Amino acid sequence: MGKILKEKEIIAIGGGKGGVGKSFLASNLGIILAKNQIKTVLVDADLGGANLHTCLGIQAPEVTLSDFVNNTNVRIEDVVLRTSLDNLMLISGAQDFLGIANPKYSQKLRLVRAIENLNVRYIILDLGAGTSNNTLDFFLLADRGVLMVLPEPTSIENAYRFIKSALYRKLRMLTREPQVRAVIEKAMDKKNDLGIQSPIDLIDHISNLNPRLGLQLEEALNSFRPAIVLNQVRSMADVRIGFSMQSACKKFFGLQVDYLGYIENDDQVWQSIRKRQPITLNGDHGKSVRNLRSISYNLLHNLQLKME
Amino acid sequence: MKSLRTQNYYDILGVASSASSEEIRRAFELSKVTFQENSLATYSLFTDEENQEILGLISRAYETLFNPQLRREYDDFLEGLKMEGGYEGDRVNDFQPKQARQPLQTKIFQPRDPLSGPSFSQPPSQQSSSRQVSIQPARQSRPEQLRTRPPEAGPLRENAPEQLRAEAPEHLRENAPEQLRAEAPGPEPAPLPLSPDSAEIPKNREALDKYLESVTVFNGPVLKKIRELHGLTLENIAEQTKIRRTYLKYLEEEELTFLPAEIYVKGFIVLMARMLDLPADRVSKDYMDTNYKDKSQ
Repeated sequence: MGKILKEKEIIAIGGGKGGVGKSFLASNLGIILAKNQIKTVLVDADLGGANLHTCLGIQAPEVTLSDFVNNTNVRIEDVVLRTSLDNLMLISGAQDFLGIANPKYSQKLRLVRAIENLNVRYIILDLGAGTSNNTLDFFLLADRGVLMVLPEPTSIENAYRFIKSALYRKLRMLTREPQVRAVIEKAMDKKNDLGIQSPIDLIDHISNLNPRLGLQLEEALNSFRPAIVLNQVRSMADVRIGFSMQSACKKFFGLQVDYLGYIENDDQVWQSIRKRQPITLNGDHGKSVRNLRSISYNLLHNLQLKME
Repeated sequence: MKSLRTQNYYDILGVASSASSEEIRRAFELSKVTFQENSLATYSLFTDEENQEILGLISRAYETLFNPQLRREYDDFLEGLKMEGGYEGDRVNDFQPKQARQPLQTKIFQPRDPLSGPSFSQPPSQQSSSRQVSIQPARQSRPEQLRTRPPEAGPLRENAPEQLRAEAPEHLRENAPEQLRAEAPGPEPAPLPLSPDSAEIPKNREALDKYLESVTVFNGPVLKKIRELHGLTLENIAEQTKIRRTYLKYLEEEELTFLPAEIYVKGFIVLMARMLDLPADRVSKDYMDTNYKDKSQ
């Protein structure tokens, strides 16, 4: 119930693999929301490799997240940038490393709390590639986590690795018991000697050690509900991969994954990226724009694709 | 959250208990694609063997839920478990349809975790035997000359051409993964998954094994021959599978014009293969490739 009444929602966009279109989705999602008079802030949480401003056609900004993270005297409002749209704001990521690429958990929490205090309805976090703890933490701190996936083996593998890493990190944070943490860390390795192959095995195993904790972990598993978006689909078979991934996640991880939608392969997309003009900004009506709109709609209304 | 072992048939197909038969069919179609060999969505999560096992469960769930009579029985069964308080457990897979007192040949999902207790669905005494598969499913690609359909289906019925007979089993064996080879039939012949009253061990076990070794492609005539070697009539099969006898006849004769749509044919073939103790995926793939490939491309 609390979630429905929540005034602000954080949406994190990740995907494990680089170049799958995370920033593309984040920026266009932000634009679509803003054009619908919904106050939104885009946050470039790709610490160390920020380029969301480029996707929006904005020059490299002078104030960035690193100023906020490194200096407790800087307020979040000081690093918020205006964009050409009234309802869209941007917090640019750090351009340089300067130690910010690995903030402490407390720093990340301070960041998220500060962002939550901004006067916006939606906060969109554009995550970096990979499965670093940073990225996973932002993904887990968000209300909705979205994974961008290409219908390609490497991307799908990385997406699964991301889901697994995020889930295990979430489970690990639930307990301080060294014994249980050790089991979870062991389980991350597929060749562990405990015979734990999937999160379901893991929870079974932990339930035997500590039934109460087992229940807690099960609850955590049930509340973890990542969403996927398929990018650059070229056929109905590609579209169907999303449903297949859903079904595989259910069987393997015991997880419910929402299939928000897909984006068709469209020349307009790379052209817009080269021009540094977001595809949804100029009133284009190509297929990818339609796709992005229906993804936004599904995301906002807690809907997902249905098989036809 | 339920592990695969304790999922009921609705969970396995990923449909609501109120799902329409159309939804069930769609879910089945998707599952087949999802868990097929080299599937993009599953290759990095499940081994080929696990995919096979999941597919076995999925087919069993589909066969039960797609048939209104069996589905009613299954719903009653689940309801009964709920009343007894045993709903959440391995017993959701103990369902036995009234018509077939013994299950049709089904693969058993073997949990990889040795700590997770005995597997479900059959008492241990039956487990080892029903895991034995008399024909190893062909993995990966078959050599070119085997993949092409023999010029006439006829010769296979009685005498397989010399070079096919000599080479096929060897290639199949070569491609079979290690663990399958280890489980290949031991000294004892694999018992048939027939109901007690329809037949015992076939008289012609040796002839059957020999014939199976020579089979390269499972088409209609081959299925007919295998059925005959099992000592089964079309009526026997019709009774067990609930497929009309005339359809069975057309299936064997590959009279496609008299048969219902492709998807039903595929379902029929799977059921027939189970009855004949054959690897259903392999048989249905062969049969569909032989008869429908040109049409669908």
